[in-house]
Amino acid sequence: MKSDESLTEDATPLTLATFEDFYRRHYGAVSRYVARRLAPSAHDEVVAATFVVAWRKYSDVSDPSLAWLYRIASYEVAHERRRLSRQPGFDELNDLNLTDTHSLEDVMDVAAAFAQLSESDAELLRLVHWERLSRADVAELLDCSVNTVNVRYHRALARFSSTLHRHLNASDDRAIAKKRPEETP
Amino acid sequence: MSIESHLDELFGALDPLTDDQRIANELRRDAVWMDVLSQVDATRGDVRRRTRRRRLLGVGSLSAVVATALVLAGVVPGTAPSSVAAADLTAAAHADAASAALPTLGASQYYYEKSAVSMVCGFSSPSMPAGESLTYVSNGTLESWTGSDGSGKVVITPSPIDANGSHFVTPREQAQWLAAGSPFIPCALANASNTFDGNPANVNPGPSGGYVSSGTGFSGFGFSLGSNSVTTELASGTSVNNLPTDVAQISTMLANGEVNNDGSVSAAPQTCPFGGGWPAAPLGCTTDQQLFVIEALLQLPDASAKLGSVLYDVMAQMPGAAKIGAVADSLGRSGEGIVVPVAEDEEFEVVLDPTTGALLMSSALIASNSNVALSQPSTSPFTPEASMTYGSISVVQGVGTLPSTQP
Repeated sequence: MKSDESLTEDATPLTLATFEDFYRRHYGAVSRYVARRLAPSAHDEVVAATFVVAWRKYSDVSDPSLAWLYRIASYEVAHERRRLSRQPGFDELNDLNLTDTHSLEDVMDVAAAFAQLSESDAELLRLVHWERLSRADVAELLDCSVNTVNVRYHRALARFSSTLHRHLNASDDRAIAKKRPEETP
Repeated sequence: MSIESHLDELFGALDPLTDDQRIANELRRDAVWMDVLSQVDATRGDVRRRTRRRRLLGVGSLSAVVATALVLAGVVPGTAPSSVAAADLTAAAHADAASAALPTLGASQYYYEKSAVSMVCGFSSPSMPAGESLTYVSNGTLESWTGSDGSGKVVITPSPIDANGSHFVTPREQAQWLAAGSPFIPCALANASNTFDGNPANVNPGPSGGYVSSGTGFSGFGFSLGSNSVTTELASGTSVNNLPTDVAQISTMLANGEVNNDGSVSAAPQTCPFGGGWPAAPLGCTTDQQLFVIEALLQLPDASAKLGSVLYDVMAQMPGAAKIGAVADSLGRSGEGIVVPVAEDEEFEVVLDPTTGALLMSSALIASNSNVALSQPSTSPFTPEASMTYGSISVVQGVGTLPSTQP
């Protein structure tokens, strides 16, 4: 456990002002990341916990970056999402806030297909489609080449597409089966 | 439907972050900063108090520690056991190894296993007071057919309302549900008693109208109970058949992140499949992450028979594994309960047959006194959140075929 004194002994001393600047630059990204993965009631606690851990570890890393913060946040989210899984507005895909523009079955089909992806596939799709990161940004964050990201992305998309089609077909079958008795004169 | 042309729309339907939420969170920037400062100042690092329960160990456990040390020293060189449950787990594993052999499959034959599954879910509807949700324990079945190459299918079927032991977590919540006009329960079988379309309790009275429901499901186990039976095809190559049965070898692979949640394996160390994929994440899995992977593996078809003994041994080496005595599984079978801490306020429990060491049930438990615990009174400090009770395995002729005598 580091004390303030030990922090000041590091080659790059961490001051509160430095850390506050780091916090203010990255709060928005961490906030959105957490908000997309946990119930609203958990947001403040998990975001704060992420930055507290960052404070403790800040001087241990050569280049404290947003990527590094995401990793800390992912661990905090991983612990919290299981504990908070029964709170209103949260499920394994976070909220399913249905509106009249999406039928329950359609969204549940998409949700079910997404739920069957591996966590790494799902996170890659979330990074691209929720966090709106470019392939180059994702490559930097994942510490791999853009080509690798492209390959992984298309594989993840293929798996998602295949699973979704299965769910949609199953829904169609159910809908047909449901309608049949009504069609009988 | 072209998936590619609708990607943003599809993922947008799943994106839970609304503009209002985003703005509200932005406005909380200073408040969260004050929270950060208060915790840093208060603790100088040991920020989040870990309230993980550690069970008291009996005197009799001491001999088990010593015995386990001797046993495991020969199994995993250089690895000291960290738990008194290790001896029990290891003994069970060895017993199970003898009973785990399944009959060899012939052409077109499949293993059939029918397990009972249970999960806690919450839901709300427009007919309920704003911000209120009800908690329901949903039970169902998980049937699997797996061929020798791992191909086959899994069918997960929820039970109708109040059937097969499914129930509201408290009579009070059931009364609230009735008072709200019996809104649709997203984790119970949809039928004449549980309808969404046309159900006035799910009608949005706001200007947008339409039917609205909000579902909450437990995530963590390899199953989820919805309102319909769900079939998943199993591809060859994603089964427990890929995994080694040598404890030291699979321990190393789990630590290296080489074992994926679906039973497939990586030829080289990778970022942990559980919670991995993140930028600059180190290769491999932490102990907690390894346990999450084991949880997932134990939900795979035939895992309890083919791989259970190996995973018991791996779990035996995990910090905090503890014996909790006799426990009955959901089918009433008596077994020996063992828990391993997973995360703060959470444990993973397995129930073993004390004679054969066969895996009877696995459960995810959450602390009853946590701020998200069930509202029901509980004498146990931990409450089941999801569980899977394993049935016996039969050999059948073809996918979808049932054994002549159902297990």
